Amino acid sequence: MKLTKIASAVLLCGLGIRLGLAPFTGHPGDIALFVTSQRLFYQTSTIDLKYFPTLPTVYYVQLLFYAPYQLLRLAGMPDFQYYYHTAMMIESLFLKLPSILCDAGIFVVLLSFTRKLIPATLFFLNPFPILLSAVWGTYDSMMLFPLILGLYIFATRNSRTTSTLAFVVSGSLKLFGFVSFALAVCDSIIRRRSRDELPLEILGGLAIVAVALFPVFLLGGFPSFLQVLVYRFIGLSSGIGGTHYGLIGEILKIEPSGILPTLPVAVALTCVGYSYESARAKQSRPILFVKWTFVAGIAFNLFSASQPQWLLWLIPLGILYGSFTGRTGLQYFAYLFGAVATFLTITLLQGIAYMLIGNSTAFILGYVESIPGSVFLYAVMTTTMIVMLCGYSFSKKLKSFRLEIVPLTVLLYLQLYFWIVIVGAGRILGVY
Amino acid sequence: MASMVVVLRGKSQQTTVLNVSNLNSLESANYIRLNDTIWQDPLSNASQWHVGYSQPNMTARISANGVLKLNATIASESYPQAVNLYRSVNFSLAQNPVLFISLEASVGIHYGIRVAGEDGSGTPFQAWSESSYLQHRSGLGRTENFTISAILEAYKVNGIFSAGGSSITSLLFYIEATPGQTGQFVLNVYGLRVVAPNQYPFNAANPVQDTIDEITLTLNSTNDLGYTDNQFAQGYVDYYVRGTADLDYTVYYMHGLTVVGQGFEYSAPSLTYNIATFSASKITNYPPLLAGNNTFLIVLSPIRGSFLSFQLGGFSVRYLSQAPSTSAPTDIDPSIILAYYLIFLFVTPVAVVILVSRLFSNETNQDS
Repeated sequence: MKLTKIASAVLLCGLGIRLGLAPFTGHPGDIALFVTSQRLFYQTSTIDLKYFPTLPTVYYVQLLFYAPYQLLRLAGMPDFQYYYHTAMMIESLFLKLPSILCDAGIFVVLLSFTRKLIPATLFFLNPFPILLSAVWGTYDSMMLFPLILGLYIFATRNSRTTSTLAFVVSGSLKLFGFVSFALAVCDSIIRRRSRDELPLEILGGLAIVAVALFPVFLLGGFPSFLQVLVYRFIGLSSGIGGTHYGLIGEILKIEPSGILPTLPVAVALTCVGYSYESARAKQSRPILFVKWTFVAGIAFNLFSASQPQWLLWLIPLGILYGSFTGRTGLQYFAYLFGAVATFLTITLLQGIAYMLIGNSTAFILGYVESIPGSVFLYAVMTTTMIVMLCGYSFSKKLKSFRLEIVPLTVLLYLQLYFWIVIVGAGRILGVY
Repeated sequence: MASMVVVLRGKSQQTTVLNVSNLNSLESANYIRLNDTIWQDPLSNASQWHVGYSQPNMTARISANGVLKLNATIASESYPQAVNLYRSVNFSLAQNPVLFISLEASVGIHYGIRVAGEDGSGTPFQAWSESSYLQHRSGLGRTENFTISAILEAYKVNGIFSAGGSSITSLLFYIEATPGQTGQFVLNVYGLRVVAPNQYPFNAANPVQDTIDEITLTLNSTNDLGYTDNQFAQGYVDYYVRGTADLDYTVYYMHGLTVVGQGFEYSAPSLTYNIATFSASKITNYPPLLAGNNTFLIVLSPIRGSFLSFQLGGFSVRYLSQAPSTSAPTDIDPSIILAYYLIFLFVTPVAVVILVSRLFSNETNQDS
């Protein structure tokens, strides 16, 4: 599609913001993991798939985008260390480039999908994707781009096989993408397409996964892959770093112990929910696909060992679902949700200085960062925001956005800050 | 771009990363068993033990009939009070003695264990400090077990010193009451013995089966890049492991006597493949047994329980030209960079979104 001038301006603005932040910021721990793998490849020829901390497809993408940087360095381009960051400035930018471009890709797909600028802008200029792609340097957008693209292909071109393979690519970048793949398989079974499309979808999906995993297998990293990623994802092991049970677990003080396969249960319930609604044909299938992927994202965040960056999944899916169902309130609330998630993540979980100057021991805004019960405050506030997001998604009364919700959210944070940080309610209740 | 990846692989000079990995970099692998008792107190002779008081008006009784029992009656006072129970011992530090102590202290009281000695010239030294985990502990009313490396505790207080000719000469337990605390409190010592660790070499690539109290992997870390411990970024070690039902262990990366990195806590009641990661930011402790001199070591050390079998898969220790920093910066004025950050992260995106929303307020049915 051809972008209008205003859409192009928004695109340039969003890219400019990201490119302005990327060289000066970064999550020193995560960036150190990625930059080590890339430097090992280009400086020592080591293919670091055995200990690469996430799915190998991310490694391959980073190899591709790091190569031009390496070429520039060999041509004599200087690079600089900025404060305590573990990667150099331009190096950091190149590491983040895939996610930044995927953000732009999501913007274009949302624009094409909804044919409206506001929903796409609400994603692209949302502080949370900006934070994750350009500041933190994580790769959730790399998973979301093929996921949203697959939904778009499914809805507009009715090309089941192509969209299903896009879901597999998404899942090979972050396992959440396989939720939509599972829904596609359910859909094929419901529609009794097991003779034509289903084998192609499953075999194609397996082929993509096999190609991605073959080098890992060759390099002896398959047991690590199973232990750290697959078993952990399906709840059969704690993987690296012990177990934690995400937002609800943090609020209810569920201590880490043993295994808890919440994710397989969430995926199974999502498939059952989708199949039930699809069989009753209450809504069109693309809407149901978006809706149940969105529901799975909410379930993953609330009930599993979730990570703060997983909150990003809810933003484009919420915007898309809002667009399909005429819920403009949900689209705007998804923006507010992202802004609040950004504030909570950088103050309560990381510390502003951590991603800004690369040091975890400095606190720039002590009153909102270095506070007792910060993780509990984060969990309660984020869970409340997710509940409100559910209200905007599924309540018949909350279809349009009211500006009063912004000061209400601020008041909610201040109230929680008072009770948790100043009064110490969590400590009194023995929660932390 | 794909062809660039292939062509440029390994073409840059190695300057900003160091990786110590592969079994070729493994100099030796040893495991330690604490199976050689060199001294034991049968706890049946109370006359070897002496009682001391911080205040003269305190009373305490001791008895020893297989269990050493200190029974102290503490009257309420406006100052802290303590009762000591001590005896003289004599075992050489050259034997790397490790004390096994099993005891129980009443709930409500605080207690501690102190070890002291003399060096070769007769100069006394302490092998305890106020900040040690062995001091001012809260009584739990149940049995607690301690594994205390005398040489390690002495090192923590005194730094590197010559163990040759030095010996441990005194062992002391105490219970202490806070101001205003009153009542009768008991400290029971159920076991007290000293063992010398025995070290057994093994081929790390093959499974080893024994009751193991620590595993040390000595690395051949030749480092032409001049990287220091501060540039250690992260490390991984993967292995198959099985332990006792209560096994709870962690992984340390050490350079000489310095802990450079530490991992999470793991358990392995059945044969398990595990990949442990360790980094400087996770350092909270010190391995209970002292294991090496000026070498690089990966140490798998039980917090409780023992390993029963172990087989190394591989390891990787990585250094970066600038590793994640764990020390506080002193020379940064963050106001300008914070303003830059907030303008880019919040102010500009929100302003543009408001502008676009105003421009397209009637967009509900309008195409972009």
